This record gives sequence, structure tokens and C-alpha cells, in this order.
Amino acid sequence: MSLIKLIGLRKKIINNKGNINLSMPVIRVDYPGLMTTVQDLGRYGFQAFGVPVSGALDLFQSRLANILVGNSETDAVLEITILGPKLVFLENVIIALTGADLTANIDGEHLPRWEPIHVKKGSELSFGECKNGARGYLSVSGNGFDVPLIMGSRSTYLQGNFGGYAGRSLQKEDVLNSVSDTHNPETRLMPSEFIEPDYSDIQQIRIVAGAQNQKFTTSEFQKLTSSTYKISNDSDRIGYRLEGPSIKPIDSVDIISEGNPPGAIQVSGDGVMTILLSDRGTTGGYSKIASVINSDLNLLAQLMPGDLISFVEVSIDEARSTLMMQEELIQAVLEGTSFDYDKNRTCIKIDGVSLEIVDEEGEIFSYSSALGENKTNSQVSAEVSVGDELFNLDAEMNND
Amino acid sequence: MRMRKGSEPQYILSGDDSILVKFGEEIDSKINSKVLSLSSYLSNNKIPEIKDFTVGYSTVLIFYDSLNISHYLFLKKIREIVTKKLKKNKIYDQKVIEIPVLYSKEFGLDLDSVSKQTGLILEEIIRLHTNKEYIVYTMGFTPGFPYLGGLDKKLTVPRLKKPRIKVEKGSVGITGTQTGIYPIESPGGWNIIGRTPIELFNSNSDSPSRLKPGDKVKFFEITTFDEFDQINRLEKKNNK
Repeated sequence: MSLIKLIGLRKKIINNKGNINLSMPVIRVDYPGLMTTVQDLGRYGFQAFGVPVSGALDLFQSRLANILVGNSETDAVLEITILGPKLVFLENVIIALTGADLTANIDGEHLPRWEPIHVKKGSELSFGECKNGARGYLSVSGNGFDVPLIMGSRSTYLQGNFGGYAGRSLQKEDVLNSVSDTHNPETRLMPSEFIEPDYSDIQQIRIVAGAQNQKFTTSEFQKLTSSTYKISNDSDRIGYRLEGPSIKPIDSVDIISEGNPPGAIQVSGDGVMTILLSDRGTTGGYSKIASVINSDLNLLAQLMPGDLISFVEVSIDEARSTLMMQEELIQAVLEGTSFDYDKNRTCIKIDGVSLEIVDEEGEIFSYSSALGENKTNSQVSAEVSVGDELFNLDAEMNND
Repeated sequence: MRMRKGSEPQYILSGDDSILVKFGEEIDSKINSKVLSLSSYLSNNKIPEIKDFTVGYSTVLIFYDSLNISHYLFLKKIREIVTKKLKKNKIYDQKVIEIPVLYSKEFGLDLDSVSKQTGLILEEIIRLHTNKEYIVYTMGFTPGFPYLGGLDKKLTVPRLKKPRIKVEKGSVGITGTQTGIYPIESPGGWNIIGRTPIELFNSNSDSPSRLKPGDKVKFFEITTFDEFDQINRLEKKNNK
């Protein structure tokens, strides 16, 4: 793949019809906004060398934006933070905006979100007040924004000055290309059941225990889940610092440096907690009391300094179920099928703890596939795992 | 609770898509060799469910695709690799990399202070630093920063009381029983004893890091700025 090193040159790519496509200028930046960066789903495979993952903070909305304009989910989008940019289109393209309501207008006319929109050459996209959420995601037809693939990703890593557009957030007069010059994709629509999220409703963020939660007493952990925390002004793509009751370890929060998972809530020596996000360092020497579950990292991305949150502990199975629900919506958009929010919410609870159901091969029993087509209920022989212990039981699955 | 060196590794859920494999609780070459055995195995064997991993001194944090495998099954899989697949702490694809360093006072900003703290003359500091073969225990802090274990105990000095806001790229530092190289300009609190003209990290490359966890590093001394510049120019040319 020597092509990826030809920075700044127009690259040839061959599309699935065998035609040669050329990267083409599609957007000029007239005003950069507070912080607008090029992001994709992140840079994987290099964390062992100390390279952070980066990528969209709200991966879910980034994927949706791409799917709506017929791109691949992994294509690059713009992550628009709180105050949006002013962008001029240099070609007729199709765009989609998802995530936060940042009062987007095309030539003064309201731009609906979660919809593929044809935009004419010369049009101007501008943003106003941040009304709901914090981060918008803008996709463009033609396989997304064309910036060099750095270690396999187009995501901007600001501290490292690499990735994205010249390793930085967008500035006035930057010109962004699309990867290909073909702008007549097969667009997609959200299912009719889709409800636009109200991000001002976000209060509870779900967590699972962190790698060092044994370094804290049960009462300190309860303090974490029973208090309200404010997202501090000192928050960015590396992490959100939290203001609120401090958390004390049994002895010390210091550990031998080890890997940082996304969403890890680390406690520093002064008892202050930070939720680690996409641009986090790959390793760190502070104890992690808990970890925000992956599906809820997308919600955190829509909060801003000053917002209040509280935490609720869930089981690892519930975390996975939640992620699968999100995946079902993605699938519904991809396949143009309907999406039932309340479909087959199946789980077993013991003492209030949700458990995952696995089949004989050990694979998870997903809500719809488990029941098989057109079945409303079925007898299953299930294996229930509680920690490392396995229990066999006969169960009846139903659709309620 | 302290783990014995020969004891079984722990498998800790560290989030909803990651498992921390912990081989011990201290910075120790024996424990670290188990870490490197697993991490080098993961580098050399593609396991479809694994998205990525990070390497700590005594831990490997493995990220998995939680949509396609449950943590129970993934745990089982990792346990099997650790207990059955790793050949007696073998480090796979281990390379020895020789790194030139100019130990001068212009580059080695803390040479005088290290000399004072250790009671060693400059020549002795250089001799002790270049004498040993170090292993890359882990990488992190900045992209491409190697933590090299096994520094001679006579060279033990604490971190700077006041970390520098800016440490030049290529600076070679020591602290405690570790030595390391700053691959890009960054803040830093280690005692700087010299600088290498070698480019350790190049974000434009698909193999961006010259070193990887488990590799061996041997420093050798270069003595003139001319030599430094010559190597540096060559490095920059090759990195373009």
C-alpha cells in the first residue's frame, strides 16, 4: 500500500465497478468553529507502541452519518464540537448530519439531521447555537473526507500532531477532499420508528467495575454511584474531569503503569476522577475504580462542561446487551428494515443482576435470532454463567 | 495481597470489552518476560476477536470485539493461550537494536547532576549506560516511548523534582532502574544524559516504531556533533 504515503497528491482508487475515481475538493472552511476535526472509528493495532486510538467520541453517530450517505462506516467524518464551522461546498454532494443539534443551516435554511441531503455547489453550511448535545457528525458522499491514512486511520490525534487534516483541527481556508469523485451513492434513511435523541435527558451513565476496584472500599464505590458529578471545564477528547465528592483508596491509587481502556474512570492522588476517552494515553499509573460501558461513551460525547451526571453499575452482560441494541439500529438502517426499540428484551435476572444467555456453542442468545423467525416463544436449554461458574437450565424464551 | 513470581496470572475484567492479564504486581524482569511472551505471541498470531492490546510492565490489556464474542468465551480463549500456547516465556521475533548516543553536556542536560548524585565521573556513567543490553519492558507515555529495564543500580537517580515542560526529541533519560528515549518532543521528568540522532517514531510509516516491546536495546557512544548530524541527516532522508 504505497499509495497511502502520497500525501497531498490526488490518489487514484478503483471503485467496485472498476472505474477509476479521483479524490476531489468538496469543502472549503470559511470559519473553523470551536473545534472541528476529521475522525473515523479510530487507530487500532498500535496501542502497544504507545499510539492512542483517537477516533470519533460518539462512534455511533459517526457510523450513522456515513451509512446515510452510502459510505462505509469506517470512512472519515467531521466531528463538530459545540460551536460549528462555516463550510462552503465546492461540488454537488450528499451530506448527512447526526448527533448534537447545533442549529445547522444550509444557505439560511434549517438543515434536518439524520437524513441524506443533496447540497449544491456554492452552498454554505453554517451553525448557530448549541441547543442539544455537544458533538455533531458530518459525512460527505464520495467515501468521506480524504486525508492521509496514518497507521491505517484518518483520525486526528491532536497531541501527537498527526492524523486527520495536517494533525490539527480545521482552520480557515482549509480545503477538504472527498476520497472519490462519485457522488451518486445509494443513500439510506432512518427507520420510521427512529426517535431523535434528547441529549438533555442524559443523567445516568452506566459503568462496570474497573481493574482496581478492589483498591476502594464498598462505601467509596457507593459514593461514586450515589453522588452527582459535574463535568469540569478542564475536559477534552483525552478525558472528562469530574467535579464532586472525591474518592479515597484503601491505601494508594498508584499502580505499576498498565493499559487504559476507553471509559476508564481513573482516580488520581487527590481523589479527583477522570473518565478517559478517545485520545487517552495508552497506559497510566492511576487506579481505575470503574469503566463507562462502550454504548454510553456515545452519550458522554454529547455532554459538555457543566453538565451533571451520575453513575449506575450494570453487569457485563447488560453492557453487551445495550451495545447489541445499538447494533440492531445500525443494522436496521443498513438494511432498510424497521426497528423495534422494545423488541425481545430478554434477560434473566438473579437478585437484580442481569445475566447473559448463551447457547450450546457458547454464543450469546441474541434477542431476535434466538427465537428464530416467526416464533413467539420457544423452549431452550440454556447455560447460565455467573462469573466463572456455569449452570444448566431449561428456560422458556418469549417475546415480552 | 502480593502475587508470588511463579504464581498463576490473574484475568481481570477491565471494562466491557477488555480483559487485563496480570502476571504480577511489581516491575520485575521475570514477570515482564511473561508479559512479553504473551504480547509477542499476540503480535505474531492473528486472533480474529482481538481488536488491539497494550503492554504494561506486568500486564497485557486485551481489547476484544464484544459484539462477536462474550467475555466468558473470550476469557476461556485467552486463558488457553496463556496456559497452553506460550512456550516457556519465549519472546517471539525479538530483535537487538543498537542505538548511538552523544553523551555531551549540550545534550545531556543532567549529566552534571547525575554525576554529583551518583559520585561517578562522566566516563563511568557512559560506560555503565552502554555496558548493558536492555529490554523494552513496555511502551507508552508518548507514541514510541520505550521503557527500558535493567539499568545498572549505580546509576539510580530519582526523577527531576520539577519536570521539564519541553524535552528535545531523541533525548536519552534515566530514572530509578530504568532508562528511556524521548521519541518526540514532549514534557518529561527523567534525567537527560545524552541524545540519539536515530528517529524512533515516524507516524507516516505503517510500522511507525523502530522498537517494540520485547526488543533488546544496546546503546553505543558517538563522540562528535559531526557524527551525530551525519546519522541524523541519513535518518531523516530514510524517513521521508
